[in-house]
Amino acid sequence: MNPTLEYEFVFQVRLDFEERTRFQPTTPMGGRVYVPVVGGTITGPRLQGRVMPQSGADWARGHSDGASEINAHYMFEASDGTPIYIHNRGYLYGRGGDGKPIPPEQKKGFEIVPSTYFVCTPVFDTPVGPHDWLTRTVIVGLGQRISEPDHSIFNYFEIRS
Amino acid sequence: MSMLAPPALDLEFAFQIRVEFRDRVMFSPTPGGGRGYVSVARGEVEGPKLRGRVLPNSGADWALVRQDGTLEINAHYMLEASDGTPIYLQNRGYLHRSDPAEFQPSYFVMAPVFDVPVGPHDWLTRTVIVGKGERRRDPDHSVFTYFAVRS
Repeated sequence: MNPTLEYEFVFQVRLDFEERTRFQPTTPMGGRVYVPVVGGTITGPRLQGRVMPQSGADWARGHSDGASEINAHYMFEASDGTPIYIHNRGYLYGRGGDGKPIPPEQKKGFEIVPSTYFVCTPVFDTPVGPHDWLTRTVIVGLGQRISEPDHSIFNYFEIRS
Repeated sequence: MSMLAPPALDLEFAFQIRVEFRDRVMFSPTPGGGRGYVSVARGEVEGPKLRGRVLPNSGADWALVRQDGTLEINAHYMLEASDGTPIYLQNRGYLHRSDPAEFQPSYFVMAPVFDVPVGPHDWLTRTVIVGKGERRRDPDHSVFTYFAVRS
């Protein structure tokens, strides 16, 4: 058995950040961070537009093993003016030599680690119309953190059936 | 574009789950559209990254039926790995048909999330998993083929 899954690149998002806040001490649920979205751009074959400035944040939760559970809410604006709510979910963590997440006690701030797992599956809401395929399609994104200035690049793919 | 090569996903086949269903109940309309209840009877898990079974009668799909005909999958049930580890599976995704009379959906894709004790299966709690489903008859069941997204 060699199952395969079809997918197609749909768009790329650049997200700009300025501040990152870690809740200290940790919360009853573990770690929690607040990373507000400053703005950004959307380019690609299926969606173009911008990230609405200051439209939300990632409130990621930290697991006890060091993995971070992405929980981001913000807004896109398509080039035709359509508002798009994105709720992004997924995982982000730097990996040690054993391939496992770097434990919370060994983390140095929000340092970017060379071996990082950064994958997400956002869900969207948008008015009925040309962009509503986003509300009925499983989308997977590969993220990449970049410093100076602090931003992330996400390449998003539509999963086919 | 900041990447030189055309962007691609690195997908690794992880496991397949065969789920047999017990009851199918539709309650409609609800204020949100409609709601389906499809209870999980039993099943098996096979593949290179996980083997075991679906814990019998351990949950259901309570899909939201939207006004555009799309089903938002919202399933909760239990797996049991072959070493006895309990695994909570929360499935989310979409099912729709281009022809409502067709048995097989034209789109049936999901991205489940898991919770599991710290140990050999805890990679499920920090890995994005995507899968496609296929409905089958006699008995009523679906086969889900899951892939780990690598990064």
